[in-house]
Amino acid sequence: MKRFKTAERRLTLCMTDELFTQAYDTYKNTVYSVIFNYVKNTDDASELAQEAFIRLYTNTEGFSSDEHLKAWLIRISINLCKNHLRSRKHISDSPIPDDIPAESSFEHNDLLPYVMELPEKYRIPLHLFYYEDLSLKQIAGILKLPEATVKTRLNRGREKLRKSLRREDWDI
Amino acid sequence: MNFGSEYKKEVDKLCSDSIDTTADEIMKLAKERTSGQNITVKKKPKITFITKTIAAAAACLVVSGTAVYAMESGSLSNMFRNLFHDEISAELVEEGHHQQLDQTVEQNGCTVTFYGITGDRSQLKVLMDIRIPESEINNRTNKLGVMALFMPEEQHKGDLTDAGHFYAEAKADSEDPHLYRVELPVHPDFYPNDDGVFCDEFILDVRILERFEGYRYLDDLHYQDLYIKVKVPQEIFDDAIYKFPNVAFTIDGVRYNLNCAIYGAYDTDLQFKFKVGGTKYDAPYSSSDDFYHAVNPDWFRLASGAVLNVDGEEYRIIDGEDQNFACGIPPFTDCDPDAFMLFPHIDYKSAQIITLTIDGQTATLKYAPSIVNSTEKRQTNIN
Repeated sequence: MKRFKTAERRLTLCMTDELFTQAYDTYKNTVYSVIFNYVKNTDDASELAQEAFIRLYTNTEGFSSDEHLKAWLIRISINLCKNHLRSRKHISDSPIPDDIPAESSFEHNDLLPYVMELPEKYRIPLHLFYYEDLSLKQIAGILKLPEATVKTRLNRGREKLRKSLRREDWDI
Repeated sequence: MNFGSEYKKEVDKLCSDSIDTTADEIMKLAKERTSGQNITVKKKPKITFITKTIAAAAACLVVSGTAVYAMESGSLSNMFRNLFHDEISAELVEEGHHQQLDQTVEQNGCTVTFYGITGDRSQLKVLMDIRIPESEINNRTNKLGVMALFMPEEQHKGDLTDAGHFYAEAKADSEDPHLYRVELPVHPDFYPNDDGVFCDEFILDVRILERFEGYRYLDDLHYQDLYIKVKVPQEIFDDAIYKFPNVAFTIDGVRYNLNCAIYGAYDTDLQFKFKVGGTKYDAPYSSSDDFYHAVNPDWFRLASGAVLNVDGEEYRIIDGEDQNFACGIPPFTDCDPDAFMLFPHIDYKSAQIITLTIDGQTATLKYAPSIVNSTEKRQTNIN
């Protein structure tokens, strides 16, 4: 992971284009992937990711560290997703016909379709744990859940994943 | 194969295939917004994961609000005790920590009878029966997995596609091949909603029955109308005590801080943090899994030898590595990993002295000797 230099750690109201570009390059996958995990389609994920970064660019608060910035971006992304799903705007204008198998668009992906079939409450902690390498405490802070709940959901998510993969050779 | 590293590769590829917006374009959009111009968010063709379609059987719903067996709490506790050998739940019921449900719902010949619910505020257990019609009985089916929702009504009215399900294996009745007994653990969301209101009404909804032949999964049966509304004020359930002892054990150069201890009705969950910088675990790790494999054998060994002493009575960890594990992230991310130990339930309130011993080191988690003993101790010190 790229890290901000010490002198640049605190992003302020006067965020420069250079700092924003650095943040975008560093965290675009973080923002896009967590949003995709919620909305499960690339179109909505792209729109919401753009919105998250627009909010970063126009943000008037500072960040004490790159971890703070990252956590803020993830939190903003999750809030955007929840608002989006709540407003039902995620219903596609041109839905994909049901006869197209889900895996056809991701024929080279072995795992992603299985992760996407997990319930959201297991899918998001698993994503933050395995993709972002966040600790239970960090995940708990971002999702506003007790650590014990995150731990339970991670365990149950792993169990369900093992079951759905039905392959013994995955080390989850 | 390593799940973590493969998953990262696939997500990275998805991102590189999908993200076609530059930082410059975002900044332009942001500047347009702040200057009051209309923004057109850049769009691209949609790719969607089609979630497994739930085949909605034609609903034939019969909800009965009347008591089925008009059960007393005594019979509820006996069911926990005799059918599931769950003495803890049985005692919680007998202590009054329960809610009778006594309702039956039916869809397409499948009947679910909800008897009652008990537990502490960190986890509840629902007792129910499921009767499967002859038409759904597969000759090879000898086990059922039950997946159910437990959530506020408002949430239940929304999109349930990705809703989290609670899971339990049902026990086949020894005499009736159509009858399955279920003790379903659920975690109540006893937290305030966005308006700061604590929810105490939930929907309990049996959605999916998984059929098994032994340990081999056969198929799923899907239902949409096997649900009831339950009112479960958290006050009626046993308290779960959260303590933050902040004691530490240094073992083989690694300092493990016990940050939180949750004393629940079913178990005692001890949650640690530890640092790896400058220790034998201080090494480059390519993934959390690599780190897990490096630290977990040692942690499980420590956990297996750990002793929780409550007024002289010794307790050992319960369950295996699934519940007594260390995990976290590679140290280059500056975050401390977690480690957990799960002991049996203890009576924290009435305990006077609780100590935890790991690898020969003992820390005191509670010291509240009786007044007489305290007085005696003070006098001894004075003398």
